[in-house]
Amino acid sequence: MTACINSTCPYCGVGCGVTVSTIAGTESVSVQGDQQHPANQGRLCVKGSALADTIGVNARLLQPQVDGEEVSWVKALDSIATRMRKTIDEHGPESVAFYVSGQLLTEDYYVANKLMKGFIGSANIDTNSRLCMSTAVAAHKRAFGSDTVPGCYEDLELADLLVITGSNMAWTHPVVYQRIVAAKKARPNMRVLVIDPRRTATAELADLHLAITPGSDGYLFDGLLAWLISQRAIDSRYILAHTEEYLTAARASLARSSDPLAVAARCGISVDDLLTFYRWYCDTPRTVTVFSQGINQSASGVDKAGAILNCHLACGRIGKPGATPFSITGQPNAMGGREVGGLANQLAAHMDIDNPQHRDLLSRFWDSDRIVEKPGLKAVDLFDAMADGRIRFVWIMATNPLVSLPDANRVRKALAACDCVVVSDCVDDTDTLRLADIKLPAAGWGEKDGTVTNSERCISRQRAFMPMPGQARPDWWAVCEVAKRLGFGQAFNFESAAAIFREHAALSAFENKGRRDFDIGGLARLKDAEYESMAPVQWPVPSSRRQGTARMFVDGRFFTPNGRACFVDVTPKPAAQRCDAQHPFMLNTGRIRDQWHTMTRTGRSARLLQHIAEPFVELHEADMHSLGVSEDQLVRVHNSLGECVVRVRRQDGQTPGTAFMPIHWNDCFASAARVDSLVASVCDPISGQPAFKQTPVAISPLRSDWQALLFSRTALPLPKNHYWCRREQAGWQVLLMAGARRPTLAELKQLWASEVDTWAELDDEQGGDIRLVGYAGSEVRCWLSLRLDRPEVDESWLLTSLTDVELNARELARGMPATGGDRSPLICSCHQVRTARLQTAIAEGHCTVEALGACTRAGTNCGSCIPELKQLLVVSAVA
Amino acid sequence: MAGPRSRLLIIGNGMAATRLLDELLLRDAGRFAITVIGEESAPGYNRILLSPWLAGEKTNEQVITHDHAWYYRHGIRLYTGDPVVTIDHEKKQATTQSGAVFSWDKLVLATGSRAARLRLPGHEQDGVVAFRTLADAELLQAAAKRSGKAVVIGGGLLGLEAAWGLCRLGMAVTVVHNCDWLMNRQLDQEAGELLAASLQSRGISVCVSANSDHFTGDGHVTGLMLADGRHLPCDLAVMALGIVPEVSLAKSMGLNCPRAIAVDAWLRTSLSDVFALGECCQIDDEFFGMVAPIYQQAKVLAGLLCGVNDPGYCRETLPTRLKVSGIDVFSAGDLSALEGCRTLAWRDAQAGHYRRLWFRRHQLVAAVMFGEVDDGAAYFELIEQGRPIRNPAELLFSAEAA
Repeated sequence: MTACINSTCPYCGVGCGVTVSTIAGTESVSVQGDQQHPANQGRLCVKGSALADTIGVNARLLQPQVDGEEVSWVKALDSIATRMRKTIDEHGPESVAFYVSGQLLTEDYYVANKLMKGFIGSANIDTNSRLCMSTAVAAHKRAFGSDTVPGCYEDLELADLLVITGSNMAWTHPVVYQRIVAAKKARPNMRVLVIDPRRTATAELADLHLAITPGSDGYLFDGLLAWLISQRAIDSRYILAHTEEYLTAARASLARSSDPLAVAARCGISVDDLLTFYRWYCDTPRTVTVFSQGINQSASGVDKAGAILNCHLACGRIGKPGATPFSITGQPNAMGGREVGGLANQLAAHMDIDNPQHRDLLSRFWDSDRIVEKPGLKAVDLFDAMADGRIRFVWIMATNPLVSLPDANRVRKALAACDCVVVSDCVDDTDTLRLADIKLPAAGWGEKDGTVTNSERCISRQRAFMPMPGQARPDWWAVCEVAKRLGFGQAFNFESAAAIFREHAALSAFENKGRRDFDIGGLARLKDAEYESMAPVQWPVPSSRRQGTARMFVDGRFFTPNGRACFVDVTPKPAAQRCDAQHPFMLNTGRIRDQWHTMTRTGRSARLLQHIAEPFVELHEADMHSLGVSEDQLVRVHNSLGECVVRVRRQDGQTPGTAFMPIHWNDCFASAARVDSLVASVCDPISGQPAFKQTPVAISPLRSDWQALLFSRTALPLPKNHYWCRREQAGWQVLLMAGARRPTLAELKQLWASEVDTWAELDDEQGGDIRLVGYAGSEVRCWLSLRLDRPEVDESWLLTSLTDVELNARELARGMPATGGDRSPLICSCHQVRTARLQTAIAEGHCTVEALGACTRAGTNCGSCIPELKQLLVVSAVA
Repeated sequence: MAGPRSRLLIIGNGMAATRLLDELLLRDAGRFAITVIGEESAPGYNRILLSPWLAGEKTNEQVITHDHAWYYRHGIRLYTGDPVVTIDHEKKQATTQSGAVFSWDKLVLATGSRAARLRLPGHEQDGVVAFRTLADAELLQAAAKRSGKAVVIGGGLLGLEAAWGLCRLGMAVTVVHNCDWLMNRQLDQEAGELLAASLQSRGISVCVSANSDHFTGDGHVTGLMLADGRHLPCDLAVMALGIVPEVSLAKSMGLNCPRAIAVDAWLRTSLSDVFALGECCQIDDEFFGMVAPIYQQAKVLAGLLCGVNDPGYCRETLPTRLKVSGIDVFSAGDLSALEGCRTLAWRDAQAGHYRRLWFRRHQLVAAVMFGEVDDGAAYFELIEQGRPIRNPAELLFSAEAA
């Protein structure tokens, strides 16, 4: 009997609805796009499609632990409360902190924030949204008086000019990108302009790609404002009626940036390209500017976003179909976190700490006299405070700051210095969990219930369809239990996520009367059953408009005290750090297509690791040449803060002198690939968001005398190496290694002797090849290929074959089926289509993406690989 | 047809001779009046099947390839059990032991070879035998019926087959080999040792690096004394030390016999109308012990005799693929000339499989396989072709991969 439950994907900020089918009495779970969900209308990207691979009890944290011992929840909660109380008593409420996450559900987030800011009386709760959205939040608040995303996804489809800046949305927000692809196909006159120092997969769709100097976006948009003014292309009536401070901003902008030649030089692009962009913008009332981490993760990000908002305000292109600035969020519930006040400088329900009326309101609503009066420490400062002893207790939920924060090695020292580190997570090993004094097993996706808010303000339900394994519990429950033990039982007596949601909704409407943007009073009286069946809805949802709100500021009224939007006199700045002779490369960071954050979930899916299985640095061919490195060679990427060892990938979309590394890999998955260990903790002074996108680094080749691929049932001791990269697939530990002195066959067999009783082996003393298949009885325990270059195998074949008793060791040792096997790079993860297959199809005359799809099925599910298919078609046409 | 048919005399009735008959019959059955003189009393049989016959795996019917009726049916005169002792080339006549005289127009020498014997002290005693002919095999079978202990001297293919046969017949067998490992001409040391271990697990003892000194006994052999002082008691000692070409008749005719009868690519000796083929002949420095090249010679010679233009014999190196006591072994290439080669091996302890390849300048030059030999033919082909191999390890895993 199949049961279907609608839920929301836990990855990016698109917030796609998913339909989960489970078959009663089995562990069979399949995940499809929810046809009814407004965000995706049935589409799903490759990460979402692979969700079923990532659930289950394997590698889960299942029992609370205190100081290394497994204990009951009662004991763990008592310990937390005792240590927290003691710390507060001795060092004051400022000495405790929560560091939470855009992965939390709104209900978890709400109670954590309520406890810290409303009852402990400290604002030291910050979230990994600080790394992601705090710049957009600050820019929105400066311009609109509130943290409001004005538009919706439909605007991206309705736009005649879509400007995408600082976002590789083809990979990071694939479903929204696919909606744009479909819209552009339906309306070929729609223009797409991509601004990115890299030529990314997203740029494949662009009519024009501006490969600007890293970090120069502020100049580009400031110059745009000056150009718009000089062309009289501004909407004076709108400015007059709905904004203030225009003249200040306009004068400054004209004084600074009215020479397109100078602006183009600043941005490192041709003046022709610059003016093409400006003219298009000028001539296109329906313009949407999508911005994301390329803008946000900058030392002057708030001003960059401000420059974008200024242009939209100047043209009155806001609150209209197909005309809006649009900040697209990185995380599934970054916006939900903002709604409950998850950032250290916010109060709940989009209220402000420095607003006495808001504090008073909250004090009455929560019936607490301990409401905080001043902002707390933002993420980077929060961990600095741990390092110097100001914070002595921290509770980290659903995030991995040891990987994700800048200067990540300093974060390690900070956590080591902190007296008590509590970590709630659903997996049993992360870099951060390794430093925890108390570990709490959290319920994961599919087990917990609550709501999330996506990038277009759409609140949708995440629903449980599986029991919680072991002792796993929802985070809201753990927070409430600790609150009760601290003596705040009255305020935390919630019996369900629904009850928390009702309070959250009631607070948003409390004495609101249209003065605050976030009002979901219309949902405050949902009965449990109504909450259970709640359909996705875009906030605000005041009692008077329960169908929700697609666009904000339609009437030109903003949430500033006088109702006018505010132009901001921004100060464009170059990247905070410059390259020098020692650090000649400007390193950019970001996501790859098939991974999510620190891989704690997606790293468990075999097919998601097939697209890109190892950490890498992308370089332009010219730089590879000057460094004397070739594709796939290992290099050290380093500066004074740290060092990573990763593989080189040739990427001619990279401007010479720049490099790109993914953010995902960490100490659980690689020997040295935490890119954030290289990133200085230089933050935007307003938002506190770190500048992850521009880091000067040196790159030096690393000579390896051997490289190896190891599959083992358990984690095995490794021979001395200078690089490893691990993943788990289908019950196998899969490890790539490289090193200087080649281990001998005898040394390796000795090293793993305890696991294995008979070996099958390739002995190639002169050639340097080693192949080992180790058996315990008739069962394969480990499989190794070691050679000078990176071993090549047909991994999907091998994974299924290692347990196939029909195959002998020699057949296994080959690493690929007798019929040859395809080792070419995987392009379509959904249908497992590789480059070689596609090239054959192209050679047979399938010369369009559609034809390739019909022939090979590539690109016909999630469509994430379509940009790569296009590139392949272009390359093949040239060849 | 005008005039009497040309007389063709074939001396020897081994596998070379019978195959020559087959080839002649295929071409021009009536061209010659053919006479075959055999030293052994048996008609045509397949010597290769003697080992399985001894082991009881083949019947008499399967071993005899050409019985008396076959010769009669094809009008071929066959004299058996009466060896030729003298040949008069001037008169073109051969005389047998019993005095029978045969004249020829064309003479083919197919005298084959004899088992090599070690002339050790005590070798003339009863119970010290060779393993070469059907008669030898019958003798061994009879001896084995009395069970007891046997020593086989020679750890080459023939010796191992004899050992297996005797073992199957219930004897306790020890193989004595004077090299460091068994089948040292076809196998590398590792494969040789695997073979020894495998034989030992089947109940055959193996002594390698063992030099025989003398036989003990009082008229009937009781044991073999090794040079190192070890004494191996036995009731039967089998010498399986290879073959010596049988050239005494040829020499008596004055034919050039460096080690065997020198013939050219068309099997012609230094005398007109006299030909030789099989184990008794040599072409340049090539000697013959395997069946395939001899069959090729039979084809060439039959063609020549029938007046067909034949390109002549052309050397083909051949792989050794054999089953020793149910163990698959394969060997190709010249293992004595592997100095400076790159070599790599695959061992699978659980399955008992082993294979090793040798490369010189990216070309496969030799291959040995033990336990699993399916890829043998493909390796052999690659050795013959000398095709450059890009990835030696891949080839080791699968010959198809190349």
